[in-house]
Amino acid sequence: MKPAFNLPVGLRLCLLLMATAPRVGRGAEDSGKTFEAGNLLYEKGNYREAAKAYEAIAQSGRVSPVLYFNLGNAWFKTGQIGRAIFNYRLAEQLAPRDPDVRANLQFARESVENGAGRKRDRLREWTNRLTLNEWAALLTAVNWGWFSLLLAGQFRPAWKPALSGPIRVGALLGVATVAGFGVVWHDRLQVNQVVVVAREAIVRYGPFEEAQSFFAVGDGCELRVLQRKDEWLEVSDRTHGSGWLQRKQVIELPALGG
Amino acid sequence: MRNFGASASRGVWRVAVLALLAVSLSALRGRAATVTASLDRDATTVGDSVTLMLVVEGGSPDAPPPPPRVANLAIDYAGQSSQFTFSNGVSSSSVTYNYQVRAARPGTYTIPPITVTIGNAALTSQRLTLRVLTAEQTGGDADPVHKIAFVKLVVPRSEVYLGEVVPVEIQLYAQNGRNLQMPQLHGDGFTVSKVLQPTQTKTQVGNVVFNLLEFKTAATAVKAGTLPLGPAELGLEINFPQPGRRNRDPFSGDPFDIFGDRGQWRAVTLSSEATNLTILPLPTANVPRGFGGAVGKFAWQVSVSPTNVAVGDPITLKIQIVGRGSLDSLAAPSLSDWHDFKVYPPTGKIGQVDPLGIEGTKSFEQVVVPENAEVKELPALTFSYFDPELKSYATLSAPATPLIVRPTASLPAQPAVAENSNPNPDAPAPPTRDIVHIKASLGALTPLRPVLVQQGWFLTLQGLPLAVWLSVAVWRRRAERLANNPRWRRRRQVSQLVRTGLAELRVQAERRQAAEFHATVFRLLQEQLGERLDLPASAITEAALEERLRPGGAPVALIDRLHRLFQSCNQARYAEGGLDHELAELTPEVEAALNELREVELKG
Repeated sequence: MKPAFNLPVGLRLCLLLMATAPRVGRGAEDSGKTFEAGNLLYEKGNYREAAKAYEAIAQSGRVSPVLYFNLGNAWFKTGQIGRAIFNYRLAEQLAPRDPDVRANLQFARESVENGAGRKRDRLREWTNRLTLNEWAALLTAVNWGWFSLLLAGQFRPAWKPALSGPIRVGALLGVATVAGFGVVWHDRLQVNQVVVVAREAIVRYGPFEEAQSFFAVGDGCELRVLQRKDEWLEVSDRTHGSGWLQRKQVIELPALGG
Repeated sequence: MRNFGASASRGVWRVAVLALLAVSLSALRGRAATVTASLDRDATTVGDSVTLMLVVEGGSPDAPPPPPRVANLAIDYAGQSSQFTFSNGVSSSSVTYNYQVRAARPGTYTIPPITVTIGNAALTSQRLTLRVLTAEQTGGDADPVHKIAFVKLVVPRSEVYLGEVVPVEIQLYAQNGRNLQMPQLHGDGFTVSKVLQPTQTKTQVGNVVFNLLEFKTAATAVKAGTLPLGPAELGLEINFPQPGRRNRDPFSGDPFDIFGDRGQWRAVTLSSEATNLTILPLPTANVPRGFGGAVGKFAWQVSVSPTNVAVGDPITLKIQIVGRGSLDSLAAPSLSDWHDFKVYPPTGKIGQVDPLGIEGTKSFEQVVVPENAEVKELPALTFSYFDPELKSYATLSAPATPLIVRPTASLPAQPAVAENSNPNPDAPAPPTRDIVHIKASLGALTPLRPVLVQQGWFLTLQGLPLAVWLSVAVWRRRAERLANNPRWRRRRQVSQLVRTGLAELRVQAERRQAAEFHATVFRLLQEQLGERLDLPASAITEAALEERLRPGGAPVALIDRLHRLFQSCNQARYAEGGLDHELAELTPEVEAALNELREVELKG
């Protein structure tokens, strides 16, 4: 017996997506279904629709590293490297030790045209192994642990000689933790970074359309924001220096705790 | 009047000087005169000259001794020199007479004794023998240049294998010279290494002392057969002495400029003789598979990293070959028969080597990429070389390395990338990878919240241990202060006691317990006064007010108030029950007195 409606699979998935999208955010079950729908669309090669499905989940305010990872993949397959890099970086903030995320981010970065060459930064490779929240938790643990040792010395002065070694080690650990946390905190919260999502964005000498062109950056190029003025951002590029770019040509990277 | 003392002193000095002269003369005369004859060398060539030195010690002839007469020898007087020494109270003198001796014919000549007349005595020297050789006999040739400088090529072996590195030495023998150029070694069928800076020594050839400069290099035969190696050519300027002058100045600091400008400098090119070397071909029997032409003696180390990869991920083989041989031409082991791997061209780097570059380390880095997840190991590696010492091939081997190859990281290579950017279609293309595929499981969803560091409670959490520690530290300090300051501790105790005592007083006043009330008042007064006067509470009586408190500078009103309280207590003690109605009025009085007493500043 034939089914009453024999619609193509892609269309059925789109309908499922449209039906579930308004209810996204109500629960993990809805998100799970939407995610599976997105995955099916992806497998069928309908990458743009898959990206929409994943973004619908992300807009619900509940996210996961896998969501951003798959979203990055979907954008990558549509040829939007900038959006892919943006989502891979979000996934990396939440799951910095996931080798798949790192591999895809690296792959996407290697695909970027006009992007400045990335130099290997061993310090960042080390500090980025933990999320910002993991660093914060580690800092808290070290902080509390160290002060606990100091408190033990206050309550039991006789223990002080035995505690001096652990206190020194704890102090060194504390310094290292503060340094690592500081680097990640600075990179995520003090430095505003953007990813170019336009196919080609012209960086100008001034924050207006008539300003002379300075250099061009391609889709996926990662830039640092120096200042803002209306709809313009002053950005800096590793090789060229700083110039002004329209805000609509980039996506600003938020800081996620992980 | 003459100074007798001074005259005596001068006399003593005269006697001493005369005695010294007498001793000196006797020492000179006491030693017998001697005559010694010598030649600066006992062999020479026809036409060349040697110096005959006649040394007379302990006396001085009136005239230079006449030279002896010898057939075919011309002996000419060439001057004299004198020497006088005084050492440890003993003096000596000598006179040296020099004669130039030149032979007209080769042969062995005997120079007869030379007679020297000193005063009335006649002394004679010993006989001398001089050999005079022809140029052929000295091993030299007729070319006068070669008497001053010549070059030798030293090759330690006459039979070497194709590709074997042979150390070669170019030796320059030179009596003098300047503006030396680096030698060039010729040899068709050889590759010659860079010539190193020379080392310099002195050596004697026959009777001639030469400066010997040794230049080291190495040669590698590139074709088999009997091949001449050399000649080695070297350019320099040498000094040709002027006839009749001796060309030897032992006091010159520069061995290549020992004549100053006395001779004539000429640029010459010295050339050694060539050496024939037999170049043996490498054996064709038992040639190991994968032999790449390495000749020498080698050892190696192989490392593989990483061993846990995904398909498409690069694996780096690090190969370090240590040994003696032609490192420049050393090739990495061939991996052409490796299946399931993409193999990229290795990079080679020569590490520490000896100055000639024939002994040291060469490192290779080879990147291979597993193409499928069925790969379980990296195949065994071998490196073969021919050992000229053993005259046989040798093979180094490294066992297979187990690998874990995961299937996830890459998809099969996509052919689209950089097709026209690779000029060599036979060379393996760089790996073309794809992104890692999407994941099937969404994982745990977490709400988007501000990061911890941006939340107030997190900052509070960080500050809390510091606050707790500071509080405990303050508490601890107070405790230590209490422990170390009994007066302060007593003050705190009395203050507490007064607080509780006043509460008791109010209760007792309400209950009209006059006896208990006054007992409490008395106790509180004792405690507070005792604390302020630093006396035991039990030692406090009303008399203490006059004896201690008043001299301490307490206000009169306070003292009067305290007197009244003491008297009230005494009255209650001795007239019980009559004063219950006053208790409520007395309580504030007690409290005020105690407060004032606590605050008052006392002297001493």
